[in-house]
Amino acid sequence: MLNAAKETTDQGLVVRLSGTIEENVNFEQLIGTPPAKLIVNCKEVARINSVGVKAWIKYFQSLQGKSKLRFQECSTAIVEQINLISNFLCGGGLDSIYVPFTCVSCKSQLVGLFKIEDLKKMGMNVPELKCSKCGNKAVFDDIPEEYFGFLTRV
Amino acid sequence: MSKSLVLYSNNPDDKIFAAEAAAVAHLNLEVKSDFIGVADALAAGEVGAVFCEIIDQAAFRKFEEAIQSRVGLFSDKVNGNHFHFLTDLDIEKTTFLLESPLFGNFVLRHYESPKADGQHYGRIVAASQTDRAFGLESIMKSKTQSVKLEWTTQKQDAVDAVRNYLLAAKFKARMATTVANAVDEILMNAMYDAPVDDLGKSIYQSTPRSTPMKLENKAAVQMEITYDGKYVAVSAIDLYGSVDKKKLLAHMAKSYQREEFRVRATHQGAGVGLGQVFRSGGSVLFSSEAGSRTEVTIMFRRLDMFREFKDQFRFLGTQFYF
Ligand SMILES: [Zn+2]
Repeated sequence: MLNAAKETTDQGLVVRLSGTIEENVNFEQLIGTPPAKLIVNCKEVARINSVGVKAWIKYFQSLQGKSKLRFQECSTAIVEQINLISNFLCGGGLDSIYVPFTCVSCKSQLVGLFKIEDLKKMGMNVPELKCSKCGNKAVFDDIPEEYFGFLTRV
Repeated sequence: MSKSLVLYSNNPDDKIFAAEAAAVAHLNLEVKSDFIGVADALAAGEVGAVFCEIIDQAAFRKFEEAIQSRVGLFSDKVNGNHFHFLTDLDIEKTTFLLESPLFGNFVLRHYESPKADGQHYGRIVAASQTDRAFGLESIMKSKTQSVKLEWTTQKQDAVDAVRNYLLAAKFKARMATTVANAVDEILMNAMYDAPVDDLGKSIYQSTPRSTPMKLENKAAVQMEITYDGKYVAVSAIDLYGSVDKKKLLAHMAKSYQREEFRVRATHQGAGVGLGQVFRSGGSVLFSSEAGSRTEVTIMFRRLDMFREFKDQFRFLGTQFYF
């Protein structure tokens, strides 16, 4: 199930999605009348299935020409779809994404938030993080060419 | 006399892999130095499995020509269920292979250990030697749990249950989510794509996937799950046996990384699900007996690093019975 928390800001309407995007999702109902500027925060989107992908594209494509769309804090589940489906962002801008890391010592998984402009500067060499559980180093944990594949398109 | 596993490959790891698979499947390994050697072995009969390295389309065409010249591509001695193509190629670049009457089984040889991977895959080969490769117990040694779904609305609960089961089995969250998503796809296919009418036409093609339906009689759907400490395997089982091999393989190879994904209002299914399962590190095995049963099994190895998980040894297997 997907929830949406809405907040009006100077930048536009921020919608924070949380949960799973699947066949029961109803974006029209969750987001309501699309505002001129819509910012979709995807930090808490844990999972999206293929019918969810379809609903996502159908909805956000329908906003083209009506709303100025931006996505921010995209979770790994959303980044995977951005990489797998060329038109997943539906013409919207992308501000930032979560990047997955795994601790070399205790194998904990963690994520780090990166701005797209910074990632572009870094190429595919993201810095190591410090593990929040054991303090050892955590390294980027995915296939760089796949996880950052979208950078050439945004 | 037992049957043979005929291998053609220039890759030393393939030989180790094939030798282990042959041992598990109780087949005699016969190594051939060219395609004609493979074709002649098929013509002579008593071949349980063919393992053939494919490096590109041109090589595959030569293989097809060899089979055609010595046996015939549509001969009774040629059964796609018994062909296993070992390759490093991306699945989206192998439509020439997936569309061939010789296909088969696609083995992405990202070996971690050709020996251990051969033992694992050997169970698939062993299952392919039986009358019908059905049931998780035929490919996994660990105990299988079975769940009968009564309503389509129970799908998300089943998917969440699988995810929690994997977290309890020490799968990392991102891996557990990837497997859960794969389970979601195979259950959805069993519920909404498998049902066909007497003419083989899809009943629910244009029915929204959120429509509650009772899963009873012919429409019954069952899920099986097992974990042997290394691999988790989950099957979705339906009683229609309606999988169209050609369409299925076209879906598996389809990529939307360059091409635009278009939403079709007439089809409620998305058609991106199973291809993504394979791309995310999962093996997929289809066993289908026309008109009576389809079992779609996904398998993932538990690994600590996601990078290794996504790049793991895997296969796309098809076992079709007509
Ligand atoms: Zn740590």
